[in-house]
Amino acid sequence: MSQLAPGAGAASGPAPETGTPGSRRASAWRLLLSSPTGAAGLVVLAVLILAAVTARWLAPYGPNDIDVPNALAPPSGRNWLGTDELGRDVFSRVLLAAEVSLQVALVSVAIALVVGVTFGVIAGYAGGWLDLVVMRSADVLFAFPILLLALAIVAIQGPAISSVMIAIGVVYTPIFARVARASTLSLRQEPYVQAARTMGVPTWQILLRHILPGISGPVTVQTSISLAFAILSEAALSFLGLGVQPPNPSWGRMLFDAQGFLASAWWMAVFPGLAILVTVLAFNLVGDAVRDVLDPRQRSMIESRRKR
Amino acid sequence: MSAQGPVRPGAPLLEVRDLHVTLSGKKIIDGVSLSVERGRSLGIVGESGSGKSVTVLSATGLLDAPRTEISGTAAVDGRPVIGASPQALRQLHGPSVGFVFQDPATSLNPLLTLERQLTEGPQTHLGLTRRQARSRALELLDAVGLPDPESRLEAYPHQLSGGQKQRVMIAVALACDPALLVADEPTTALDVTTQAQILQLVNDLKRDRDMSVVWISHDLGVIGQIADDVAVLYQGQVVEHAPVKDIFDAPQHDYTRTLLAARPRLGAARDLAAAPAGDDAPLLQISDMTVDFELRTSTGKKTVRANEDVTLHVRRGETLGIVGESGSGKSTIANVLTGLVTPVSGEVLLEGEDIIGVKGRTAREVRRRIAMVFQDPYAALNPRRSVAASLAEALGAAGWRGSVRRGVASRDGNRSREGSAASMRDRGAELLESVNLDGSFLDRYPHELSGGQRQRVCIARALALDPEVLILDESTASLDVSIQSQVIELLRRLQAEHGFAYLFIAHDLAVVEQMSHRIAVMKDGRVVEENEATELYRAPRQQYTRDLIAAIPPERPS
Amino acid sequence: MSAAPQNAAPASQTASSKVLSSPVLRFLARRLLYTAVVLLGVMVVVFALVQLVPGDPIRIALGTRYTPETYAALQAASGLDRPLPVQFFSYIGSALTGDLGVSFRNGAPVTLLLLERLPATLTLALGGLVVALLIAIPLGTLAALKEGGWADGVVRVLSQIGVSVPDFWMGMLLITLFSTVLGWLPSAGYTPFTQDPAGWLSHLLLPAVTVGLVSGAIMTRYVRAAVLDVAHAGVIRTARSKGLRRAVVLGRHLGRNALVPVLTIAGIQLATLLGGVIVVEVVFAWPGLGRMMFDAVSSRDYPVIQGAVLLIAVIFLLINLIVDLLYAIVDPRIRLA
Repeated sequence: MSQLAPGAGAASGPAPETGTPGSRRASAWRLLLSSPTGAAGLVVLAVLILAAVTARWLAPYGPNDIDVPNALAPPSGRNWLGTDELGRDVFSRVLLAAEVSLQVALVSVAIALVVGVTFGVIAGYAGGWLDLVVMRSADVLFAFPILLLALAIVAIQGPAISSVMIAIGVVYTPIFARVARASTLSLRQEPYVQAARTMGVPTWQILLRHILPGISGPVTVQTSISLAFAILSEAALSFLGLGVQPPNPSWGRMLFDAQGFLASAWWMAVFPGLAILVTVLAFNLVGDAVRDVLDPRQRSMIESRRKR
Repeated sequence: MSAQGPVRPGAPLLEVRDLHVTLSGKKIIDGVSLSVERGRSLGIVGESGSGKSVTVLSATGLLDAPRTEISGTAAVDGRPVIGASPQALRQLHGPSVGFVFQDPATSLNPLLTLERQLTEGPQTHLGLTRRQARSRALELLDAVGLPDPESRLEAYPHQLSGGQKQRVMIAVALACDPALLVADEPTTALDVTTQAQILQLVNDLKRDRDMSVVWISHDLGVIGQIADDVAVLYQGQVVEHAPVKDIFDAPQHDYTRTLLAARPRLGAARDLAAAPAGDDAPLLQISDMTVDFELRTSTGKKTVRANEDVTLHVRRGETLGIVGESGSGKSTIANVLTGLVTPVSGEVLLEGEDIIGVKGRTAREVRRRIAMVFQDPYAALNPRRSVAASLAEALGAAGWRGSVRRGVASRDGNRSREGSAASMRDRGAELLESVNLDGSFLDRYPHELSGGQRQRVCIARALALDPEVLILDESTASLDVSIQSQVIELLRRLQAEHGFAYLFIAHDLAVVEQMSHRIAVMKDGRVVEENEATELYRAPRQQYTRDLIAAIPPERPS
Repeated sequence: MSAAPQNAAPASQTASSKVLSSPVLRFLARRLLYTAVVLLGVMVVVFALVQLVPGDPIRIALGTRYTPETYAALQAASGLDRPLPVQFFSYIGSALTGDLGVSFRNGAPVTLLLLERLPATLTLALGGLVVALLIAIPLGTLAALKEGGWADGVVRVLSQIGVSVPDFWMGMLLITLFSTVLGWLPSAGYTPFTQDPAGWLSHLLLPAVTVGLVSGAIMTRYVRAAVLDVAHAGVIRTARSKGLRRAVVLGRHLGRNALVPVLTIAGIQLATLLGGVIVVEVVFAWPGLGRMMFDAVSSRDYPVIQGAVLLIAVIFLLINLIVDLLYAIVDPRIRLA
């Protein structure tokens, strides 16, 4: 698993000044859809979310319908993606696992987003010792590789969906805090924010009118990327038996079970893995496309925090 | 003139015929023809976006942008450039053409010693050994007037000042003894006194080495000091190409005349409202103010003294010009007055009340009475918010309640200087009118406005506060000259109408002279000289002031 | 070296610390201080892990069948019976001297257990980093130099896919192909280099490629960004304006300037790999820290969990320090600030 330092990552070129920032909102969706990868990502995500929400009606079998005589059956008209060692329908299980996976990812990233952005904005705008404390705390959390910390948290809380959500939420919080802080710092130096300050506009109004809308771009990118990594983290934890617990199906656990049948039942390993890959890829593509749509200067925003 | 052919004696050194350049589908250059004779210098002048740099970079084969289409012909020393192979261009760059770019801070490689940056060209092109190249580097550094070249060879760019870096960049450009030096706005990022030195240096080098120079600038004053011939570029076309004297004395094209007329120059007609009588109590009084700030670097923090014992005052209806080069501490004064920075000592009185460290309601009142117009109108407006929203924010800060979009608003009860029932939207339209924009601009977004219009909106926003003191921090510096003069005109009119006290902060002495009743000269955080504007220019008392005045490009070429 | 002239910077400058005259030393001293502060925070977090266990960690660890004697012995050995502040300071004190307590499961010193497993994990992480760099530097540079072209598009899509692949799944697929189907490489296990270099390499190859592919995909994007940043900077235009050979422009000017950000990300990736290979270690039965951590979580062996987390965090901080040092060597702006 990997820790994406905020801010860097794939950069778009120094695109000549296309849409000026003001037109950004109006045409952001159009621009997003005009990028083939971004459009593909969005479509796949829409289909995935729809499938996850309606999984319990779409699935032809129950996730735990055991049919031992039909065990390890290859993909067929009856079991589209084959069956596992207990004869359970792989397609139904992959579908239902999508619901759980997306749920875990959404809740955990929401936790990270709310907590991280709040601390990040406050730290970046207030500066001083508050900034120091918040950022040093983020640095401390950053010193632990993501999966390791999540594993430790789950080890303490005991394996359950709620612990997975908390664990992933906690490990992604410092990333949001950093992104929000870096953007806030550079926005604070923007003459239009300075102008508001010199006019005596109250701080809360500046935060609401200028800072929060201003950081929404980088935060959106980070959200999309974090959702991708949250799904990967949940899959890894479930693979280790510490994530989603039976009877709920999960992609990670299905892959763990597939390990014993790599040679005899390839479908057990291939389809859950593909499901993870496609979901994660879709989130990453959308995140990347949003980054490209946003001002290309955003890339250097994080570095430009030094004062005059 | 004949068509392309083998090298002919007497042929122009650089010849460009019917050049067209399209970048990412956008037409930038539309049929430009130019020529530079051997030993002469060509100044290319035009406002931002006129295509000056693209013309020269594509004509010399250095343009490197994705999705570029170039047509036409260009030849250096009779050798074709457009369509030439990369190898052929490499033979050209260095021995035939040397380049100096705008920002010396980003042009030099931060990781290499000056020696390496100076020797790699000669080693490649002149076949010099490392040792020979080193002694050549020493000569070059000496030639560009860098003191103590021997020890500088081991130095890195970050150890030099801006002017020194540009000298090194010139040395790099001259390293292979090119017949043509291309200088793309080489003094724009530098202070005026440094600019004067660099101009002098290039003129000397040109004479000593019998070299041709192509100098690109937005500033006709600078061009007048360096060029034998001038090409005026406007929207990708050459509108005028003539000897420099003719350009200044008998401009043929309207655009050239506009450029000449709009150019700020010393002694231009000053149409200032009379300064208020001298015995008025000052509206704003700064006394013995000292400001420190902390500078974070990769190796630690250091405290920098930005202002030391600054004492200044300004009366109602008066403009105090504050001039100085970058780092002189002039913007720090603005930051103190607007509450962004707190001084370590001294006092700042607004009508006798100290405004340092005020809080709450008093602070809001002080922020309302002292308004500021920023340098860069592109950055001073939130791109996501309409003009109406930006004005509403200011009106809100001044105590107005309600929405600009619709509905009635009233001014805060306990302050009733004006009629209280006017809607904020009406007030917004009024403010725009006072800066010569009509009410339809209310619903526009900053990206739909030109630079000049944006700066007008910024001024309207400052007026929305109903201020008494206006800080103009380089407020005209980033505008094209033709727009600059209009904004100055507007500011003068507003002062006459409302009796504002202006603090006009600028690095350009000619602009300051047009605006100011009194002028304070700052250097290294201190006020070194302060006097009535006319007196200061007529009889400067300090050497530094004299240097600054001497550095102003003369009105016409000598 | 020549003394740096004062830039056209503001008035008088007073350096806050005059004790350390060398900029490098000052820079490193700052980084050391910073590391110490973060390390303290890390220890607080690691200490808090056990305190946050709902209920009695020893009882949970021992399960249902134990005697009061074993309970008391474990409690005394772990110090969990003492007041919290005492526990905290004794934990910090012991940790600083390398004593991380004893395993709940077998009473062995945790430090010893960790040191036994560290070489395997280091091997895998370094192997993965090598694979990652071999992928990322050529592909990232290629993509940046052909920005907007088809090669760039292909590299970008490939790296997106690489970033999105679960590493353990990739491992399973590689095992199926190279071990089960082709029979070229062993599917699991570890041989120390000192015993059998060939066996060491054949065991290392699959897991290292697994982690290297994913990590390389991430790094490709950073390398591309770093090269692009430099390629569009004035530095490269200046180099081209000298008519230098392309190789010199790319190597001396572009490469060196792009190296600085790439160094940072390589450091972060190495550190991340150290703690991130847990799942891959499980898939390949690799006897490293991750595998041990996994076993410790299953058996609620809290001192081992604490120890592994602390060790990896400390290594992360150390690697960051080393990167800082390399920075100072590469970049004269730090060396001679």
